[in-house]
Amino acid sequence: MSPRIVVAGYDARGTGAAAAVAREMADSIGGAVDVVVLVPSAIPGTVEAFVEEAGLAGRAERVVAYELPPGHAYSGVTVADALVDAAAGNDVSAVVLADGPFAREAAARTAVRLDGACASMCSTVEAVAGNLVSVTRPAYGGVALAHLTLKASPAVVVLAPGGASAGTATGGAAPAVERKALTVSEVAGRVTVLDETPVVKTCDLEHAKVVVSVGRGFAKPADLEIIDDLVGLLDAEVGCSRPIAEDFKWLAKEHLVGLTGATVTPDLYLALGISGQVQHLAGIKGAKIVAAVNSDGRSPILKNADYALVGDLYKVVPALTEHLRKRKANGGAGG
Amino acid sequence: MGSGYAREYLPFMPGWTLWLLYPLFALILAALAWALVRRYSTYRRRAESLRDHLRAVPGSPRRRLRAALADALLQRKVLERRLPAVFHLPIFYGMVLLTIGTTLVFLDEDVVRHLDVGQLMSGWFYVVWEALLDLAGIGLVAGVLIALYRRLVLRPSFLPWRPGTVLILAGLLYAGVTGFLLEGYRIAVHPNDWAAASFVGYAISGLWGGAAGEAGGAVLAYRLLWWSHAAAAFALIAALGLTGLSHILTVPGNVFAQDLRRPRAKLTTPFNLAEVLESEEEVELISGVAATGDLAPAARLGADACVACGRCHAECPAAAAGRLLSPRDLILDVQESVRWGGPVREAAYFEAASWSCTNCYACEEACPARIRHVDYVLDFRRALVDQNRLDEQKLSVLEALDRNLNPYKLPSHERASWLAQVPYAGEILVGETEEPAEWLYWMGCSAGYDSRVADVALATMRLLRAARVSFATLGPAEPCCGEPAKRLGEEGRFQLMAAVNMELIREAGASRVVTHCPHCMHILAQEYGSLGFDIPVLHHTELLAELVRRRRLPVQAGVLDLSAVAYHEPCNLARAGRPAAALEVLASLGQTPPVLPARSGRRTFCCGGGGANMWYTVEPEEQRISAIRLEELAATGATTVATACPFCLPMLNDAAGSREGERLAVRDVAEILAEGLTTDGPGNCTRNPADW
Repeated sequence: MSPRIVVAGYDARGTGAAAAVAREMADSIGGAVDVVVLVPSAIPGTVEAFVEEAGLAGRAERVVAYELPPGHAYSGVTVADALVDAAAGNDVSAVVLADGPFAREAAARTAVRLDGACASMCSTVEAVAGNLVSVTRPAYGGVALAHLTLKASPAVVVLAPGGASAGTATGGAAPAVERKALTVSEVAGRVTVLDETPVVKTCDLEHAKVVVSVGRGFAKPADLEIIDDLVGLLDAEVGCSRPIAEDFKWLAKEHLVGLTGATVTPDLYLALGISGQVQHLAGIKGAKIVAAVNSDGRSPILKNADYALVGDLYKVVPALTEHLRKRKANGGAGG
Repeated sequence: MGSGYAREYLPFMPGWTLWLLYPLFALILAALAWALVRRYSTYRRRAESLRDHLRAVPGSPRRRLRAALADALLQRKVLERRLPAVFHLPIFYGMVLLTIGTTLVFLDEDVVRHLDVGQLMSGWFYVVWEALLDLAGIGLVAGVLIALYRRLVLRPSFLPWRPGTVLILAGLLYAGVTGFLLEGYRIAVHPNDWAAASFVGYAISGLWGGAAGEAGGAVLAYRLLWWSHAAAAFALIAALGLTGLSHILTVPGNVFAQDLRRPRAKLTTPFNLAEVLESEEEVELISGVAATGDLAPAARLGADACVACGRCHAECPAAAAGRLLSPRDLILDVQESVRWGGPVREAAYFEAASWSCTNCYACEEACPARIRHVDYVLDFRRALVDQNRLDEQKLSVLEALDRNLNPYKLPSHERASWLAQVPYAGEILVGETEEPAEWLYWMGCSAGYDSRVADVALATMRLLRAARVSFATLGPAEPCCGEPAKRLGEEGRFQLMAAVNMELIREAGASRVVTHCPHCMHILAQEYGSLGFDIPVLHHTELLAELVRRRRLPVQAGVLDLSAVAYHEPCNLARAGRPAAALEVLASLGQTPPVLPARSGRRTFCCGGGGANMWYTVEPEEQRISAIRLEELAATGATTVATACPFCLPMLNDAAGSREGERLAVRDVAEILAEGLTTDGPGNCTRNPADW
C-alpha cells in the first residue's frame, strides 16, 4: 500500500494550497494525496466545482466528500472525524491542514486520535527519510524559527496563514470523488448549533489604501454626509476617532482607528476634525501620508501630519471634493 | 447582697425543663462545632491548610489579633456608613450583652448555686444588669427592625436578595420580642419592688394584665412562648456555623489572617523570578488561579467572610458603568464555590469580570470584611494569560512592551523626542551630567509619547529647576516600568522588565526617584520593592509639597483663585494612603483650597484608566467611567479639574471633550503650581510656558 497524505482546508483557496504542499511530499515518497471535504460547509456549490476552484486536478488522487448530518456544523470535532475516517485502513504518513477556522483544534484532535505528532504555523513542510516529516515553525513569539522533525507518525501539520500559496494548478487527471456520510463522534454532540449569524463587516480599514477619518470636529451625525462624495471619489474607507464610535455612537466600532481600534496602513490618511490624542496616533503610525484638517491650530494631529490645514472642515471638505471632482472630470487619475 | 433583689429562675416552667433543655443545647453545640470544623476544613488547598498560611503570614500575631478585635469590637469598618452604623451597632452589642446575660444566668443557677457561695444575680448588680439587658434588648429589636425595613422596603440596589439573611433577622427579632413578652409575664404575675428596673418588661407586664396567671391556659401559652424563644435562640446558635451569621467569626478571622503592613494598593507577588533562576531546585512557576480549586487557604477564608453587604458594588466604577463586573458577585461566586464544596469554577467563568476591573481598590476600601477583591481578579487574569486566552488588543500590548518598551505600540526611538527641543536637555540627561544627580526623574511612557503629558513633565522640570533640585532623567532611554504586564497578569514578563529597570535606576546613581505618574510610583516603590528594590520613590506632588514647605519654590502664596478648581484624586495615591500632598500644594497657592467632589479622599472614584484598562476596550459598557467621574467633578461647579496622574489626565480630558456644555479644563497640579512661579530662577526668567 502506498503511503498517503490526507489534506483538509476550510475553503477552496486554503485546500488548494494545502494540496500543493501535500503533492510535493507525496511525490518525494511515492505516495498519493487524499483531500477531505465537508458538505454542506463553507462549500457554496457542488463538490466538483470546489475541486475545480481549488485546482485539485493533478494534485490529489482522491477527494472524499463527507456529508454532515443535520444539526452538526463545520468544527474542530467534525473535521477531525472526517480526517480520522479518511485515514482509517490507510498507511497515512501525514495530514496537512490549511490554516483557518478550527484548523488547529482539528489538528490537535486528529493527532491524538491517530497517535501522531502535531505542529501548527508551519511555513515549510517536507517528507524526510524514515517516513518522517520535518517542518519549520516560529519560536519565541516569532523572533526565531524552529526546524522540527516530527517523530511520531502520522505528522499532523497546520500550515502558517498565508505561508503557502496555491500556486498555479498544474493540470492533470481530475481526482476521483467519493461521497460518504460522516459518522460524528460523541463529543460533537455536546455542542449544538442554535443559530448562525454571519459577521457583517462593512469596512476593511486594515487593507484600505485611502482612509478618510472623522472626529469630534463634526457637530452632529447628519453632518457626516458631507464626506460621502469625498469618500467615493477617493475610493476610501471611513475611519473615526474613539468618541465618534464609543461616546456618540455615530459610527460602528469597526470604524474606530487607534490603540483600541484598527491599526491602519494606507497610502493616504485624511483626518477630519480629529484632535489627535496619542491613542489615535498609535493607530495611524503605518500610514504613508497623513493629511489633517482641524480648526484648532494647537491640535496634536497637525504636528503629526505631513499636510496640515488649519481651517473649518465644513468649508474645506466641500472645496476638496469639488477639486477632486474637477480633476477626475479632466481625466486625472482620481486623486 | 442580701437586700432581697434576686433573679427568679424558670418561673412557671415544670421541673423537668432543664432535663430537656440541656441535652438539646448540647446537641446544638455539637452541630455548631461540626459546622465550624467543616467550614474550617474548606480553607485548604491540597496539602496547604489555613494554619500553614497563618504560620507564614508576616507580622506579629498579637498585632494582627488586636486589629481583628478592634474591627469586631469597635465595628470600625461598619461605622463608615451611616445607616449600618445605626442598626448594626445596636444589634451587635445587644446580642453580645444578651448572650453574656444568659450565660451569667446559667453560671449562677447551675454552677455557682451548687458551690454554695451565694448568688451572682442579686443585689444592686442584678438590678442594674437587668436595666442594661432591657436596653440591649431594645437596641436589638430596634436595630433589626431598621435592618428589615432597609432590606424589605428601601431595598438599596447594591444589596442582593438573600432570604437567609432575612430569616436570621427574623430570628433575632423573634428572640428579642418573645424575651420581652416572657419578662413582662413574669412581672405581671410576680410583681416586686425592683421590677421597674426591667423597664421594658415592666411596661409590657401591664399589657398582659389579667391574661397572665399561675395556672391554666395562660401558663400553657407562657410555656409555648418560652420554648419557642429557646428554639429561636438555638436556631441562631446553629446558624452561626451554617449561614452568613458566621461572619462574626470569619470577618475577624480574615483580618487576623492578613499581612497588616501590606498597603492597600500592593499587588501580590506569586514568585520571585531572580530567586527562582538562582535556585538549584526545579521550581514550577505557578501564577494565578486556573479554577476556584486552586485558591489559597487565605483566599478561601476571605471569600467565605463576605456578608454580601454590597458596599463594594456601590463603590465599583465598573459596576456603575454597567460592565460585567460586580465585585460583590465575584466574591459571592467564589464563596459559593468554596463553601461546602460548591461547583468548581474556572478562571474563564470570571473572564469578563476580571477584565472589567480597573484596579482602583474602591471595593477593598469599602469592604467591612477587608476582603482583597483585586487579588482574586489578578489571579484569574494570570490564569487567563497562562491559558492563552488574551484577545488581540491585550496581546499586542504585551508584544509592544517587548518590542517597543512602551504600551502605546509606538517606536522606542521616538520616545521623549520633544526633549531635543528643551534648551537645558544636556543638563538633565543621565550620563551627560558631570556627577550623578540627587534625584532621578522617572517620566513614564505617557510623558514620552502623549504630548499633553509631556507638558506635565515640562512643568514639573521647570518647578524642580526653579527650586534648584538636582535631578536627571533617562529621557529617551527610559523603558516602560512594566505596569501593564503586571496588571494584565503577565508576571514573568513584568519581573524581567523590573530586573532590567532596577539595574538601570541603580546605575543612574540617584539616591531617590521622583515621578509624576502614580502608576509608575506604585510599581517602582511597591512592586519593585517586593523584588528587592530599596531606593525611595516619591510622587512629584510629594516632592513639590516638601519644596513648598521649605520655601524652596519661588511661588507667591495665595495668588491663585482655586474656587473653580476641583481636585480629582488618583486612586493610586488616595488608596495607597498618600493623598494629602497634592492638596497641600494647591492650598499653598490658592486663596481658598480647591473644591472636592462628593467622592474624594480614600473614597475617590476611578477615571477608568487603571488596571491596564487604558490599553483595551471593555465591552459591554453602558457609560464610560470617565464620563461618570467628570459629571461628579462638574457638579462641584468647577471649570477646571486638577489631577496628579497621567492616566486620569487624558481620560478626564477625553470625557470633557465629549461632554455637552462649557468644556472643563483638565490640568496637572504641577502645571497649576508652575503658573504661580514668580521666577524660574537665575538665567531662566521666562514665565511663559509657550517660550519653551
